[in-house]
Amino acid sequence: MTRIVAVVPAFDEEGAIGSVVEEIRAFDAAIDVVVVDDGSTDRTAANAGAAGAAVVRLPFNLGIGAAVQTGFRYALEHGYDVAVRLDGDGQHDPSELPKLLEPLMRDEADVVTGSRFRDDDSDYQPPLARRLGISWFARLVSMLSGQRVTDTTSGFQALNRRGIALFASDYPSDYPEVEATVLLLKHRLRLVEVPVRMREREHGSSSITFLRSLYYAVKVTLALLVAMGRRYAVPSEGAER
Amino acid sequence: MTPVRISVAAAIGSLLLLLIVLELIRGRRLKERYALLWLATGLVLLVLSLWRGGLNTIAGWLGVSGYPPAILFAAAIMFVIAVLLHYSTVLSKLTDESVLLAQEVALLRARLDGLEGRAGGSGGLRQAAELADNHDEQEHEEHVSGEQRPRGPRVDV
Repeated sequence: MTRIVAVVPAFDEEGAIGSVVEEIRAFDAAIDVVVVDDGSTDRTAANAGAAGAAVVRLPFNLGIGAAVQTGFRYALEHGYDVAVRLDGDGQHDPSELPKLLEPLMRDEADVVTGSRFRDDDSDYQPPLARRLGISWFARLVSMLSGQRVTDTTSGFQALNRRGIALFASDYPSDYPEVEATVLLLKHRLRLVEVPVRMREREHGSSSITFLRSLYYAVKVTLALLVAMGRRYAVPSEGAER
Repeated sequence: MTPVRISVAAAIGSLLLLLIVLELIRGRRLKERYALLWLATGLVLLVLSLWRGGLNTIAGWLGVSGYPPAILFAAAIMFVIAVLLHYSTVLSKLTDESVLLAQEVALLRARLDGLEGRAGGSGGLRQAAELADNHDEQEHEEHVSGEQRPRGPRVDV
């Protein structure tokens, strides 16, 4: 029996987090849910706990990367076979989970990413600035890694033990997904993208505004180029911290 | 040639810097690790201000013809940059370490909440069952200290 944990990072998501947790549990009660509360000042932790999730409360806001990593460390410490990451704002639909889990179950991948762009007739249309950024990073990462990657900013991911072990020990900080993609390819982990649909955010607005996108693009590009110059050891499966 | 007054003033300044750094180390207010760069700064500046012929020679090498004491400023600025860069690396390391500590605290607290059965979720209860075998005896103690632990970020000066 494969033990699966859903890692849900959340920062001030009291409005959405309860239904996100309930939805995952309703989809498959065998999936444990751990909500990583990234120093929220509202009732995020309480609502997540009431909905039936285990709650890991960070003592102060660490940012999305460190929050997600905390979830992977939780998965590693508790010996889960598979971790899936869904965002706390409800944009990732649990009914898409089987698509993400399938390549893992067939042992064809170590990490599976839900891509909004794999499907050519996808009707997902983000704002221009975001679309430009996303395609820039898709191209850059594809070029650097030699593997076609279409969506490097998706946080909808499933990982096996190797993937969990890698991200528990090393996960980038501010805008982590792009760097994480390069990181796992550098470590020779097998990445597979599957087409998924994502929903509009249920509450609040995306945290990425125009100026931030620009900062994001520059910072992540720099981090990518530096990361390519680093040497990486290929992690062993049993490695714990 | 460097005016004598500049040499004297610079030497006094460097000596003061050295004395302050040594005093800070003596009072354990500055770790030796961070003091080394400051000591090197003070020493080099002291040597450059006293050894007036040397200052002129170096100025000659670098093509500074009009005003040799400019070498003093250049050296001082170089060291300040080195110290700042060193601080940036120290800061980065401290950031990494505090993130790790925060994660560790959060994971431990989740386990503790599970042990005390007040996480409110099945995950917490399951953890409690998992851990109960090993921690039977420690549980009481942990419970007591758990009530006293600070609840948020706490700043100790």
